[in-house]
Amino acid sequence: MDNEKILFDNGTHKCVMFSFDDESHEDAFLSVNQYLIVQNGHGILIDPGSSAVFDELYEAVSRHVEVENIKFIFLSHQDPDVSGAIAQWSISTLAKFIMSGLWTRFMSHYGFMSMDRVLPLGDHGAKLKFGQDSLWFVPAHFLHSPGNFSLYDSCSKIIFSGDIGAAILNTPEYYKIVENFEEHKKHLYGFHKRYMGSNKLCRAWVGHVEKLAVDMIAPQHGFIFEKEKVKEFLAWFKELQCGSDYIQELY
Amino acid sequence: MDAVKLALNAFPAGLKKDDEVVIDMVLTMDKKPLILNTKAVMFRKSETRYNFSVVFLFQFAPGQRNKLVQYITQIQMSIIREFKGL
Repeated sequence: MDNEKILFDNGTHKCVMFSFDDESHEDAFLSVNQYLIVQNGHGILIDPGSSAVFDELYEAVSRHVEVENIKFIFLSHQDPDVSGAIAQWSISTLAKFIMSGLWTRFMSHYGFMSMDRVLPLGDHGAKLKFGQDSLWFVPAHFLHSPGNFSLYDSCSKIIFSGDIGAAILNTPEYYKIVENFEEHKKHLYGFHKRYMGSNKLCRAWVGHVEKLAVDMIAPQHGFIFEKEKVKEFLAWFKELQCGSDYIQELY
Repeated sequence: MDAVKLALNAFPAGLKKDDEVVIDMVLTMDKKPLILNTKAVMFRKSETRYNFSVVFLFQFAPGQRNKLVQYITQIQMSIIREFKGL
């Protein structure tokens, strides 16, 4: 499939989805997505992934924005498929890194040495304003990581949801979009049941997201949810029993 | 990213500030040769007892600049991995 797809473009604001995977482990991978927001020539890179995809993603990103104009790199959580190349991005850009304050101290284990460039998020998140619009770092704790955020872009009305909405399935030959939610649920269930913290946490996140005007949910793995599929996913996620709801199966 | 400093044992006759030259860089990245070339102008010369160093300024095309950033990133990551024992 194409490794990139424009999700939104109004001339001054653009959102791009990339799909670069570690090809040396194709049989074991989760189909991975990386995202870029470009606002008036300035970039925000979202969950850029591991060192295995750094070179390809760097080339792809530089086709949309001057790399020195990447102002922020947002990491939804600490996992290697999200944050693994933080050291490479710190060398090759001038960007600030936005992530949960819970994880900053762990980034040195990826070789990251520029702690002064981290903007740590408190548990309640933060808003970055640009003109009439804003980027909102929405709390998504324990979904799955203890320090976890989604990113809502009020201009495109896309929520970049990290592992929420992730699906385990092979990469298709076409645009990665959910066509039939009932069919897609079977690809969501196993992952969410085991990785997400509890139904209480799912409800808290959905409660936040339902207050926003969301046209699209863009997860870090799997397929994009658009329009009616957004509502269907939120309704499903709100009722999902997961994590500690199944504590008797774990101990 | 816009300049290179070369150490030379001998200084080419007649080379002076603002002279235009062509710089060829032959590096190795991912076990393959990475060849970058660009026009440059001489910016500064300094001289010690046994050698010369010369600074040239240049402006890479965007694609070449990206390749050099990737090369430098790889080299710095190797240094970090060695330093931190990763």
